[in-house]
Amino acid sequence: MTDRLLGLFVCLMAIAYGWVGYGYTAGFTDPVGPSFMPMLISVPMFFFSFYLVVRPEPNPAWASGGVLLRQAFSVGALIAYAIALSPVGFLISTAIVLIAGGLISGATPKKSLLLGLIGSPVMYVLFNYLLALPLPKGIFSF
Amino acid sequence: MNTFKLATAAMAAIILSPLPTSAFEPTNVQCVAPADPGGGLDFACRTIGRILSELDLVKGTVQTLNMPGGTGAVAFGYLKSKKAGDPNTMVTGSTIHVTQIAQGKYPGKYDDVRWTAMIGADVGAISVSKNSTLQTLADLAKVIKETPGSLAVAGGSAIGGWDHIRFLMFARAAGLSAEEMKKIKWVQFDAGGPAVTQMMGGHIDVLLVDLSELVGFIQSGDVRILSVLSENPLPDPWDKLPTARQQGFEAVGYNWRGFYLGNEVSDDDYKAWVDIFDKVYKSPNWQKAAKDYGLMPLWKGGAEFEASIKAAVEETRDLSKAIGVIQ
Amino acid sequence: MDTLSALALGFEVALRPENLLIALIGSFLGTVIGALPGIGPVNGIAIMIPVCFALGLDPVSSLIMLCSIYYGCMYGGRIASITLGIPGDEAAVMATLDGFPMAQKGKATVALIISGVGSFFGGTVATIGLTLFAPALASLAIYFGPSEYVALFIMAFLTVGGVATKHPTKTLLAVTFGLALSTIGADSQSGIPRYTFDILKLYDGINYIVVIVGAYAIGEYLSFLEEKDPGAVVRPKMEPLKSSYRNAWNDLQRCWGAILRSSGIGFIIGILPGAGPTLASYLGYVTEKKISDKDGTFGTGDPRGVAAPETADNAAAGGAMVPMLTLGIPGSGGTAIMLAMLMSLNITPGPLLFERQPEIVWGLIAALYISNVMLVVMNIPLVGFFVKMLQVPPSLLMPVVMVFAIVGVYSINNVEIDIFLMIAFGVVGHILRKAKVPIIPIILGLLLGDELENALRRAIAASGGDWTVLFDKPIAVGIYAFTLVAILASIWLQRRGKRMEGAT
Repeated sequence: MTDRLLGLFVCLMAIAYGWVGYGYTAGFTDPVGPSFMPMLISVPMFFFSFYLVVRPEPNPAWASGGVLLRQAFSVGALIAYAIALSPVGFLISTAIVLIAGGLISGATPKKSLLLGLIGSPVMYVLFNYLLALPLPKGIFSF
Repeated sequence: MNTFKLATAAMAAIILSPLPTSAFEPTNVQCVAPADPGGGLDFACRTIGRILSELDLVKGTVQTLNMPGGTGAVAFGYLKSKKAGDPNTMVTGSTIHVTQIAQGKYPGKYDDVRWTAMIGADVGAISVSKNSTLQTLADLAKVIKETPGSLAVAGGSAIGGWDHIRFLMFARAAGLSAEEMKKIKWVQFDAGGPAVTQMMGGHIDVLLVDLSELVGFIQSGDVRILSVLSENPLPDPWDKLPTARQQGFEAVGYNWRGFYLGNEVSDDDYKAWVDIFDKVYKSPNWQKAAKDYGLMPLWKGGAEFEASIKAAVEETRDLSKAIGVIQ
Repeated sequence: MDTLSALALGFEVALRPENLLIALIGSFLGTVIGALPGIGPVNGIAIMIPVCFALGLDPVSSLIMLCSIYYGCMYGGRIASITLGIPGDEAAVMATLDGFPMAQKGKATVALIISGVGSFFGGTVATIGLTLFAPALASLAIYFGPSEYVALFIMAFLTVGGVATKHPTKTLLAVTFGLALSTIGADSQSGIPRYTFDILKLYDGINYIVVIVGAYAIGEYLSFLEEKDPGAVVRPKMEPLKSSYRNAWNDLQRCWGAILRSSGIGFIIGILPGAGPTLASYLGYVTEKKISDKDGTFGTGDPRGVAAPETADNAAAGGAMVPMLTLGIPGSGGTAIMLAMLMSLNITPGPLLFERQPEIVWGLIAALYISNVMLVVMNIPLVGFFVKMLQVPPSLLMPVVMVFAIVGVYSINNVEIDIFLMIAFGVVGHILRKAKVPIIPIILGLLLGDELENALRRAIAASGGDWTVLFDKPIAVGIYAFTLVAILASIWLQRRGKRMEGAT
């Protein structure tokens, strides 16, 4: 089923990709043109993915329940971190994402807390002073 | 000689230094390089940053921010939308960017920013392989006039990009009509090095790239320069290279490096920056850095620079329309 | 410049104190990262790329760092394979066959030392081969026009380990997916934006570093969360160090044949496009089994069964540098990622590199010699320390790796969209990996797709629209013929290997 779904999705993508690619034109001394390559790619892409629909392999074991939730949480945490990094600043947002990451990954609450409270300043020193990366200071910017 | 230059620079610095009470002094400057680390525009930002600090022209630090994307369009958009009024944020620009602006590929027009100063330039060169039968620019003009499609011409830009446009300036000077120009075969490369190897192997016939990309190959004798596209003969050691003008073709094509500020920066701050760049330009620090990097020091600042941008945008737009790159 | 003086120049670069220090740090970090269960050399390099950018190293130093990390990861990877029986990547699977039984018999340290010595020999033989063959290949540069490059890239795509894997359709599908990604951005020939949806940032195309770090670092994290008890700490059984040295020395005497043979096999397999360390370690193991397994001890903890795949694996990793540096075509996952790094540093690998930037190529080659020595010297006495590394709970380590990845990627271009793209590719990479669609062909398609299109369009533009130029050059035709032979040969080798395995 996984292969069929994936194949079907890529099939549709190949069609859309080729369709959009067909529309690209450049007028001038360009015998191949910008639409050739997309169309050339879309054809084998379509056939290989179609093959998956017709001849799928056995399903892999997908995560379910708690694990899936954990994965969703971790992706959510990373996205939130990316958004918060600039306005909130490195120190606070990193401490929070490390605590959350530790908890999601299965560490004890105590260890996770320590990871966040120690890891964040250590990484700040590492990035800011040793690697000279300009880190967003966020609400500490005074 | 060096002491003399140093003394002049020092004197200039003293005479030109603004009164501390009234003038704007840039603080914690941010220089946006619209490119990945390591390229020419990144070099310009970092070198200028270093010199600004060395000459004590700014307070605090000068930080380089790499912001590649859309051949400079991302950095242009960033300045226009987020930093238009910030006198401490500047962006590196080059001819390539002005070409893009003229063809409408930027989120704005050339007068949406304040062009401040250009401090150095690379110059276009038309070259052939050492084995080529073409000896002079006139030979090349004759061939492309009679059979425009017979030669494969290569350069470091896309169709309608600056190298292509510069070659077409020469083609127009050689008397080709717009229709004939469209027949010239244009082969794009990302940089001069690979293109020269292709020319040496006989896979392409003529090459137009910046002179600095050819230095090694000129010294090894692998390429022959038919002409450089400068207004006047270049300084030593390139003074022997013939310009297109000397051979009777009106084609000039620099690739300069300069800086621009946001549109809402006040006139006073803008003038202060023009003065600062003037000092940088005249400093031995920049003269040496430019030479080391294969750039010719070349100065245009303030109103003169803005006028030259306007003229360049108009010429590029005309030529691009003539060959159908833009409508 | 003859090879010896070029190599001398290289050592001059590599022996600079700062570069020596970088090689030392890289070797150490590489071993540590490689030792973490489940993280192979490809992940290791992917995770360290942002750090190289962040350090602001110059190109030579960045490359030395990455190469020593790459080699270090290969050394470190075997620690998890042998002591825990958890291979860090596909290429390390063969090392578990005899290594883990040895560890269970209480001979983990012996196995680690043997594999360290084997890795050193394999790596050094391959580096010598690289020194000898690469300049010769590079001197062919001038004969390569656009048509020849088209042939070269087509060869790279058709042989990308693909046909030799279990899922050729999925591999080729991954190639087309990577190629499709490569067309995003302003078309370099005409300047027309394709698939950019008016997002300016996309005009320069998808940043392959973002894809790599996303698919490997984030993807790895998501896979890690699926383990039964991710918080658990593993404690491998270890015997006292001192007595192991004597045992290792005795066992080594039986392994020299295996080490020599596997060095040769590994290097040749490494050079061949599309056959990386995985195939090499596999062939090294089954060949040795065929030749020396008289008593049927292979698979029960025979030291030769550790030496052979580990030697071949490292030899292939070195051999894969030959096509990567001379032609710009990577022969393995690790070199594919190094190619990406090179390209982000504005260094175009390929024949010109030897001519125009000899200090980079030769500095790198010299650094390979040096880091090999460093690694073997570091690994044998520190075996115990690296085994301790396995006890750092991944539940605390993985979040830190994530922050590194995000801050590192953000620092490359300072745009948030890169982080979101990275997370998206992490999720996509995880799904694809579950569905057994390999990631490396995607990276390869993304890396070389542009080049293929450019070469194709240059060839046709220079010929004025005549498509026959693609096939009327002898070198191009030769490459197509070679591609066919290479595909057939790898299928044959694979089958033969399976038969030999099945025969015993």
